[in-house]
Amino acid sequence: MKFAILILFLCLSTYIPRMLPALFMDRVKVSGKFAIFLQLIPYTVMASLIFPTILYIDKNIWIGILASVVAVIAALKNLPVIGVVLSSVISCVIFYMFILS
Amino acid sequence: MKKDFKEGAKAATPIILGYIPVGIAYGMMAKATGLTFFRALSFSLFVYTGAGQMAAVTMLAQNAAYVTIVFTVFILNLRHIIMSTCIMEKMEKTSLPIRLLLSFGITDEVFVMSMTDKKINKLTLSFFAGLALFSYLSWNIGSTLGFLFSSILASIVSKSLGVSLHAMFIGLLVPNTKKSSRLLCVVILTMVVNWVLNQFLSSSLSILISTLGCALIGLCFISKEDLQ
Repeated sequence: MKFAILILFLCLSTYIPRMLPALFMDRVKVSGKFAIFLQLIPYTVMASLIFPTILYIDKNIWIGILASVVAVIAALKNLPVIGVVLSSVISCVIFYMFILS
Repeated sequence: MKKDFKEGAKAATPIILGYIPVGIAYGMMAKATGLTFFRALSFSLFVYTGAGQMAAVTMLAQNAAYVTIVFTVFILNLRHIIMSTCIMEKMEKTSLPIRLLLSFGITDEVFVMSMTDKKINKLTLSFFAGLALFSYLSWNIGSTLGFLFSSILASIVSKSLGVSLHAMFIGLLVPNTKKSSRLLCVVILTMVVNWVLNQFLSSSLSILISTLGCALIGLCFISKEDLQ
C-alpha cells in the first residue's frame, strides 16, 4: 500500500510538468520573439543533453569521444539519423572488442 | 491520419534503439536493488522517466524518505514543462482530453524528434501519437527484458547501444547547424555553459538553466532564417 502511494506521487511528479502546458497553451497566442525562443529550445535542449554527459557514458572516457566523433562525421556525410546511430554504435562495439581482447 | 501515425512510428526507430538498452540497464538495476518484478515495472509504466526512475530506485534501496524521492524526481523532470510548452503550442487545435493523454508521452527524445523531423511540415496529433506510443512501449519492453534476463543480456552490444540516444541527438543537430553558423554558435555556447554549470549544480538543474538561458541569448542574434 505504501508502495502504491509512492508510485502515485512519483507519477504525479513526472506527469504534472508534462501536462501543465497542455492545459493552458491553447489560450496563449505565440508570435514574434517568443516564437523564435520556442523554436530555439530543441537545439539548446539537444546541446545540453549531449554535452558533457556523453563523456561519462562509460568509465572509459574514450567511448563517449569515439561515439560523438563518429556520429558527427556520419551526420556531416548526410546519413539519415538511423545511419548516424548505427555507425556510432558499431564503432563502439568494435572499440569494446578491441580493448577487451 | 493513419499515414501520419505510421510516419511517427517510423520516426521512433532511433528512440526505440536507445530505449531498449537503457530500459534493460534500468531493469537490471531494479532487480539488483531487490525490487519485485511488478514493482520494478510499475515505475516504467506509471513514472516513465529514465534518469528519474534510476534515481528513485537507488534512493529506495538506500531507504530514503519517500518525500525526498518524490521531490528529486520532480526536480529531474521540471524541464519537461518547457518541452511540453513547445509541443502543445503546435497542437493547439487538439482537444483537451487528448492533449492531456498525449502529454504523458513527452520525454527528452520524443520532444526532440517531434520538433525536428523534416518529413512533416506540421506536427500532427497522429504523428506524435505514433512516436510517443512506440517510444513508451520500447521503454517498458526494455525494462522487462532487463529484469528477466539480466545476466544473458549484459553484453558488449547492449553496452554499445547505450550511446545511441546521444548519437541520435548529434544526427539531428548537425544538419541544421551545418546550414547556419549562428545556430552552431548557440549550440556550442549551450554545451560550454552546461559543462561549466555541471561543476556546481545537479545535471538536471544545469540542463534547465543552460537550455533556457542560451535560448534567450540566442534570441539576440538568431533570426527566422537560421531555423528553417
